[in-house]
Amino acid sequence: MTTLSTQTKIAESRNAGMPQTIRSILRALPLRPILLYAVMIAFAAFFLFPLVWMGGTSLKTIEEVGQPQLNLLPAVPQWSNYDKLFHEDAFYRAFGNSLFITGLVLLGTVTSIALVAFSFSRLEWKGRNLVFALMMGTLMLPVQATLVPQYVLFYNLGWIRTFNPITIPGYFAGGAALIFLLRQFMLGIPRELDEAAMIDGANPLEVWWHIIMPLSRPALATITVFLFVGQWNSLVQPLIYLQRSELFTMPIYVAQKLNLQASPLPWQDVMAASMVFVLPVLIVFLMTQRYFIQGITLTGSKEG
Amino acid sequence: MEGTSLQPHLETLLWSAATVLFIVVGSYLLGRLASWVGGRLGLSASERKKVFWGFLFAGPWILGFLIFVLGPSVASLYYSFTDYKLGETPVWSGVENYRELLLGEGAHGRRFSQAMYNSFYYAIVGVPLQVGTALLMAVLLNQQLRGIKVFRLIFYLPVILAGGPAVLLAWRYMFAANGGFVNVTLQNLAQNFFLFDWLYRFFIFAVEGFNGFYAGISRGDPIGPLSYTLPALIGALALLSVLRGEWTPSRRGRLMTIAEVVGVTVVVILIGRGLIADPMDPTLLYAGGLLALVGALISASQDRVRSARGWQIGGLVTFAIALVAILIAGSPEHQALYIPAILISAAPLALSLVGQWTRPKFVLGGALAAVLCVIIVARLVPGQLDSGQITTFARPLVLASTIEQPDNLDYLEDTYPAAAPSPLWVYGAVVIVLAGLAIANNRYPRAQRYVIYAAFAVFALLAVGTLVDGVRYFQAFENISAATGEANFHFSLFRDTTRAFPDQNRVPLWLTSELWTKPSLILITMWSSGAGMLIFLAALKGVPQVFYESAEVDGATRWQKFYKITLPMISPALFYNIVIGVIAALQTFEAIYIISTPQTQDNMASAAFFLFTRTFRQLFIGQGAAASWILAVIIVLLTMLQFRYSRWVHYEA
Amino acid sequence: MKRSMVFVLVALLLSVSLPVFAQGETLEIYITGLTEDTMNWFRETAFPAFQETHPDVQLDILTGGWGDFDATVAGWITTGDGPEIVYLGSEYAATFGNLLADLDPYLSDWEELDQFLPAAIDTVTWDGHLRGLPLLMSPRPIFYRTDLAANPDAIPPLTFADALAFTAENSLVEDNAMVQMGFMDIGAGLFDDQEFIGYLWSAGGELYNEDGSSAFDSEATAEALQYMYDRRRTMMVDETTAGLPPIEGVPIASGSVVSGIFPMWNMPSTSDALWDDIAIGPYPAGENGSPIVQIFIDWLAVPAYVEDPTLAVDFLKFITSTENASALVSVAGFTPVRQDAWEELRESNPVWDRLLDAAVEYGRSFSDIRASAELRPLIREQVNLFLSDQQSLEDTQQALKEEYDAILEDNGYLN
Repeated sequence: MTTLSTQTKIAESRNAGMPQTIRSILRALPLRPILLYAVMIAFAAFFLFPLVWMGGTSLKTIEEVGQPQLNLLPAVPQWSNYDKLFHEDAFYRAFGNSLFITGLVLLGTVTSIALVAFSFSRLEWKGRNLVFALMMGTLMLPVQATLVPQYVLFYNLGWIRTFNPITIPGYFAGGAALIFLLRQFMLGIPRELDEAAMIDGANPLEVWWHIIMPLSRPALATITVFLFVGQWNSLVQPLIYLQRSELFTMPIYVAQKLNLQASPLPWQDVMAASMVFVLPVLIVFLMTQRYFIQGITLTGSKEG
Repeated sequence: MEGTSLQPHLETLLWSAATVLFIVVGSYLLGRLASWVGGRLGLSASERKKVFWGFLFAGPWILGFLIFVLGPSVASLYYSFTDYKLGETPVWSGVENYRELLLGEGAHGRRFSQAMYNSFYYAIVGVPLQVGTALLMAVLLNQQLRGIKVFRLIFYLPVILAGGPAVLLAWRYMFAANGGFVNVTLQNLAQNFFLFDWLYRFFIFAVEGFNGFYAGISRGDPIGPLSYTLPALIGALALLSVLRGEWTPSRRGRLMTIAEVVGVTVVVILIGRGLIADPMDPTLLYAGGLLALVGALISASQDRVRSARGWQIGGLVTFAIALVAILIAGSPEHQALYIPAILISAAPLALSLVGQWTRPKFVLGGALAAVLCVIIVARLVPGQLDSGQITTFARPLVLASTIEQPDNLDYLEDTYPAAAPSPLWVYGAVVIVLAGLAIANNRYPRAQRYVIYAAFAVFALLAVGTLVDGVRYFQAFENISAATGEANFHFSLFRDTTRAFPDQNRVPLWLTSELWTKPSLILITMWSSGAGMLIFLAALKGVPQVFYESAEVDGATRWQKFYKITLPMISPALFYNIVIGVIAALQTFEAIYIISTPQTQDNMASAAFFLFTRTFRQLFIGQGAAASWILAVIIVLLTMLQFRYSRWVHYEA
Repeated sequence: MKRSMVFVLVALLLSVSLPVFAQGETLEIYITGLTEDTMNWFRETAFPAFQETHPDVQLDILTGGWGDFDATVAGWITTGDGPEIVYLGSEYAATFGNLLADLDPYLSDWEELDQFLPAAIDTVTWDGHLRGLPLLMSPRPIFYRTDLAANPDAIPPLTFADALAFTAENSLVEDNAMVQMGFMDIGAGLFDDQEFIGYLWSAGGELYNEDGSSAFDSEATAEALQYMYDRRRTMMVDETTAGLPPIEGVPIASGSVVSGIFPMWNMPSTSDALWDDIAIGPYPAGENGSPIVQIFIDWLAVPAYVEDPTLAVDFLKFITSTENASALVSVAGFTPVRQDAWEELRESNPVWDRLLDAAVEYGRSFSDIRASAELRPLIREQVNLFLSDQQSLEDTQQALKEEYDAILEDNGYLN
């Protein structure tokens, strides 16, 4: 509406120096959308190619996979590759484990992160900056540094070969980067809103739940997607702690299909598993998508 | 599923429930404890209440930190000071691990510094590209177009895929030099479009040249007079920006910022390099201390207390490093060299103890003292800024060569670099000139004009002169090689790749040549920069349309709107993406693990990759831990720099 | 609402606290890198057979995969709690060293020990003591495509000079990109660290001097390095030549690779007709050396944290028996390490017959490579610098020697 009309206005002012005929042709063409689409399609091709390759390979026969030249798509799609996958017990087990772990982690982590970020952004308390600096400090330490001491800790808790080393730490607001992200977002929400609520007698818990959480939806959606992707893809930690095939998650299941000792490598199975593996994340992304668009309600007025 | 196989799931649910209970109770107790401690410290009742709520909400993280982070971190800190190979008992070895890594001693030290150079490359070249791509995508997606949802999904897709090994393997196929998707596309375009062909070949030429040069630098090949070109160029360009326009407060502020950034960055990097030098170079520490002192004085003169604090912290860091230097110095004479550094770097901190230290007279006195210190230091340290070295600087100004024996290999490789004055002096001069101009604040317009002209001329001439001399320096190696018939390995990759413009059928050897491995990795991270895009998108959606509408009324162009409204409004997101990007650059791991081959591993390895290999492949837990702490300190410094210089970051709506 | 919550919680508690009836001992075996079929053979065939003689023993396979092995092992060793048996590759005896149990007291008087290939026993020995038993071997000779080679009579070349000539006449570069590769090394990257050690041996050199210091300053090292450099230059004119297009399947079957070193799992199955056109040869030799074939051993070790290895050793003896060795050949496609299992194999398949001949005539296994986890990156770094024209031969040898000596010292091999 308003934006579109001003865009054309600006386009007109740009073309002011050109001859009359060209100008009229240009005006007739929806030049800007065409250009935008061109750029976006170029980007999309760049982003999509690996997925197309994976999808194509997942439908090939083992002979096609073994061919030296790179063919994007198979001659005849072999849906049986997927059929085979869906008949494997190990696949269902891994998929179930992944859903279970990710669900638990998401629930605990998003809630705890929202609480902590609220404390760091909307509450004023002595020592806050110190604790915040400490939290940022934990971002700096590479995870590999503490792998060995952490293994000893989980061992002493009796958590080796259980899901706990993967699920429990998340409950303690795991992920300083996400706390930081949410805090930055919450800092942008006008202070008058909670001050007004406080004067009305609300306690911080109520402010958090009734005011800040609803306003933080875009950021909450963002961290939910990040957490989901991170947890769903997580490979190294589960590998270190699970150790038993009945506890394995999807990434391990996929990685195990990539076993180098099989000859020739069953690329088509690996890729079929990968394709199914990607699906849940896509669904979560689609589900949270609308929150990104929704935008933030600032000062009560909102654009359309 | 059979009943027995659900056992682990049930157990986990129980543990989860117990954990939630533990966190709720724990956070409550933590809040109570904090408020009690607050009471002891004399806080008012309302303050105590705030402390209670604050700790209650932050409780989950604090508890998690105490349980899962603190213990393991303390353990790894302890290991870093021990000689600890897996399966053996840790033996206290003091700073030996740090020394070996920082001084680049032996195969491991060298591999570590190579990894640091790689990480630096990812941070300097990769992060801006990655953040730029993310921003561009977000701006595109913020348009009101049909089908934008589909594009949003596609743009985000790589992030979901990037973690898995499968897609990284797909990239190996895409990047295949011969017949891979990327190269085939590039070649097709080049064959059909004349202009693209030249761009493409120039791209190959530039990337290979740059990476070849970088490979030489990271391997420690001497660069001769070229080391002065960069600071001289910075000085000349900064002064040029002053010459081009009116003198405004914002211009003054900008000069100040350039001076500070150059000062701090150079001091941090050079102190790092000074530490790597064996024996550690004390002059670098003097310089660091001096810079902190001068910076603190300048900030104080302008009543910028926070800024002065920053300089004091800089002084403190130098102080700490000097202390470490004394601890690991070999002999008492050697130790004595670091004492001035300790004194100078402690001075900025001491200043605040004096009280009322922002008074102008005091500042002036301090500045004079600092200049005196410079002179004393310059005379105190043998081989720094004696008359011979001053002529070394004077010669490039008239485009004369500083190289005395262009046909002597030993001279070129050892004698000449050893005798050359530190480029720090040029950086120092830049900082002093810029800071001086900023302080003078156009109070003496005429004198200032002359200073600017003169300084600009000196810096510009120095930049050109050293560049020319640098070419002579490289030529000298070539000449010797031609005369003796012996191969010249000095910057060999750079020379091989820049000798001729690439042929028409040349392709980038993405994953196989060390000239292309780092660009490949950067391309992959650009491809998966959707996470940053989401953050930008959320921020863009949060910019109130009212602002744009009023700007349109004022007749702003689209670019002006972007620069003046959008960018400041989304700057928290930008800031976040940069900080996270740099940290991620230093900690890149999985991608390198999968797409590198044994032959390219060293040239791709990030600092985190190095420490993984050292810890888990070679089982030297102690040195691995030391590497991780060095990495942590570097990340802290970088983040501090970024925090300090993103003052324009906009937090209030 | 609340009551149902309590009910659910109690039910959960009960279900978890149900006692698990564990009978007798458990024996855990960590296996990574074997196919699912092979692991199933362990579970479904080998374990029940073992339980016939050990009825109270529970057997279980632990497994992992890429990226975690090193960290997981580190965890077991620091906590002293992990599987009783670990499946390892050739180079791990030296990497783990004393972290693996000394099995001499349990195995030294076992008469069947003589049946194993001596080179394989060397591989599983560290510091003079047995650390486990070899399970499978994988000889890595050079395979040649007789139908693709320009001059099939020259196969196999046995000296460095002949090998260079062979590579040169069978390599094809068009438009700055390889079309046919005369020789492909194991990493497909034109050089490999294990391969370098192989040429060092076939040039008549050794890794160590008599006093235990590094022998990288030797003539043989120079010869091996020079051979690898010359071979690289016969295939790619300079460092900007693009390699072969990616090969998704078995390289030797691609038609663009004329010869190369491949592990058996990267070759066509032994029943493939292509084997009629594949010749087997050893690594070519230098002037003072003789040709070799590298033999890689997969073995089962018992970590030192296992307090009583008796049961684990029983299992090792069981799984390496003649009978099981033959069974593994058909399941996993590996070469058995026991010579008494070879006869059947030779008769059943001519490819194995030829392979075993080469292994017996030229075989040399990877034993006693000290501090290999640190030596390998060093070789890669230094040899790569030399091969890509960034460092002279002398400097390369000097760096290899000096730094390997320092590593040996670090690890207590050298004073």
